[in-house]
Amino acid sequence: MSAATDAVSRLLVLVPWLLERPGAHVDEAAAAVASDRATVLDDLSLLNFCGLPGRLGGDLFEVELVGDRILLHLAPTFDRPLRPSREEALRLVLSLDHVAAVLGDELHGLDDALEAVRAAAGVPAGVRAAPEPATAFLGPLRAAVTEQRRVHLSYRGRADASPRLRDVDPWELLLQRGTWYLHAHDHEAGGLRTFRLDRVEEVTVTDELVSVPRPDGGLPTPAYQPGPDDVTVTLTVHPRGHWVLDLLDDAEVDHGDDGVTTVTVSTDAPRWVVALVLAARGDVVVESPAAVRQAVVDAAHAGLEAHRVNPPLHPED
Amino acid sequence: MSAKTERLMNLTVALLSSRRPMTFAELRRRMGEWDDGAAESMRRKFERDKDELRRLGVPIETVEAADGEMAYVIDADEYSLPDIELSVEQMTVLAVAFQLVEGGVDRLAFSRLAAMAPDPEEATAPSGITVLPPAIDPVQALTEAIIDRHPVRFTHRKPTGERTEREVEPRALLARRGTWYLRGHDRTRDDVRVFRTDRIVGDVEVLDESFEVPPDADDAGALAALFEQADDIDVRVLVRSSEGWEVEQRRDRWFRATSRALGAAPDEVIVDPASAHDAVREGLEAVLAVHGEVTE
Repeated sequence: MSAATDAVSRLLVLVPWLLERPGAHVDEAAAAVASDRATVLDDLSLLNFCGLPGRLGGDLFEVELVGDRILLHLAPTFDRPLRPSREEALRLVLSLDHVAAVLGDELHGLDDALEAVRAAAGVPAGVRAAPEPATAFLGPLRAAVTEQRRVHLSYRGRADASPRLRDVDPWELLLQRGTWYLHAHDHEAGGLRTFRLDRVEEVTVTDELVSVPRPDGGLPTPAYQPGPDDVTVTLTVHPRGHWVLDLLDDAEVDHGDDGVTTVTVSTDAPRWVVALVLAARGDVVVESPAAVRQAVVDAAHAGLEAHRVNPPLHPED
Repeated sequence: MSAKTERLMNLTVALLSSRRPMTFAELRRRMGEWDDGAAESMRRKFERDKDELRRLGVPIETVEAADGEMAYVIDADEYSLPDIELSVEQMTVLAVAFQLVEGGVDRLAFSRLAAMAPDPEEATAPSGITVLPPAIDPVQALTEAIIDRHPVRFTHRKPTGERTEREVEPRALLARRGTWYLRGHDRTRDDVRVFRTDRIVGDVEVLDESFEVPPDADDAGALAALFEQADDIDVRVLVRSSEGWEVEQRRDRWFRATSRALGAAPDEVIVDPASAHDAVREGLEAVLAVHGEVTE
């Protein structure tokens, strides 16, 4: 978009907004179009040159500034705002969908208001975004973020076979791509860590206040970053095990003719790959490296032994 | 910049206020624009202006005039936002909800909705939460096809890598955990099907024809129900800790419960129900078998 199209885009909202609110303050007008005072004043001065006088009954726009108050006279044909484009409408409605799913109970009346917006914006009722339902930990964690209190998390990271206790200063809860994350300062790691709420097993909000508060400005959005300690693992995936492909982000996938797929994935958490291979029940084989292959074999042997010593409570015939 | 802003505004005024489509020649005369250069380049400049307005969402339609020339018009109903009945309370709650959404949403899109509505009251947004909007790129074309009731054609990849051409009458979309699911009538299979859109390979082709949706179809409901299947089981799990085995009670789907115990091997053993215990044990045996290990 150029500066000119930005200005047109704002003016197509600003004109009907001003017609609806004669004598509005410049600052209010700026807020209404998500802009600043200087920009809006520029836009309005341009508007003074717009319009089509002449035999077809058109007219010029006329903007009058009295102090900081704006009066708009003779604004032909622009008494209604331009409707949001389909893309804008879709983004807007789906984002509000997410908020409603999360805070619908708290923000009273949002569901009904959103349905009115959905209808007016022309987003079909059949197109919806439903985030993962909030876990029971969302409430306590939100309170901890708001009250700036230190939290103990029992968390099963990708690299962890079993949950580990983390001592964190919670900064922000983030819903991204339908999944909940907690940004927090991890005291053990000495820096910002991102935790997926669906891997949190237990939350204890302490009485202690955080010692490392959230820094000003934006936090990074969670994404997997390849690191120097990454291990490259090659897997053979048989057709029944193809569901694991959906869990391997950024994997290199080579589909063979016989339905057998070769996958190469870099990971900072080989233990997580081992867990995936175990869960695939023989439909995924580790080709390399030998250490990861051995880790799978060892875990399976030890697992069978654990099953032998812990038989079912109520054996079936 | 100012001259261009003026030109684009005036083109919008001219096309909105005209009762009939206007040709380039008529617009040029009416507006006194696009007339200070070679005919060819002026025509191109006009085309660029028209396209820029379209990109802003201004619905400029093209029709053929009597003499075979192209003529242009804006339908005021297409242009204008329809009435939304919103109370002050509803505007306030919408403004608060919008504050929680960060990035990806044009602030002006909300301004457009709010222009004719009552001004919201001052309100504080709930703290501690930020919502990023779902990715819409995969579904933009599909959504438009749902609105316009156009069938779509695409290549769909099975998890096995096998590719099939599908022709689908799209009826509903649901985003779940970052993935969009499409439900519609699959003409290829003559049946209602659900597709993961991240398995669509290449572009979605939108067909010109149109289709009817059965009046009793509840596609959105059917999609939502997909994720609310109540086949959860109660499992009792022994979890290894520093003090020995601890008992945990869990409620989960069969596949997830057994997969989780498998992945946590050797630190978890399901002891109830026996069928889940056996499924995990057999899973571990299968893992060993494909890795060339022999078990007793």
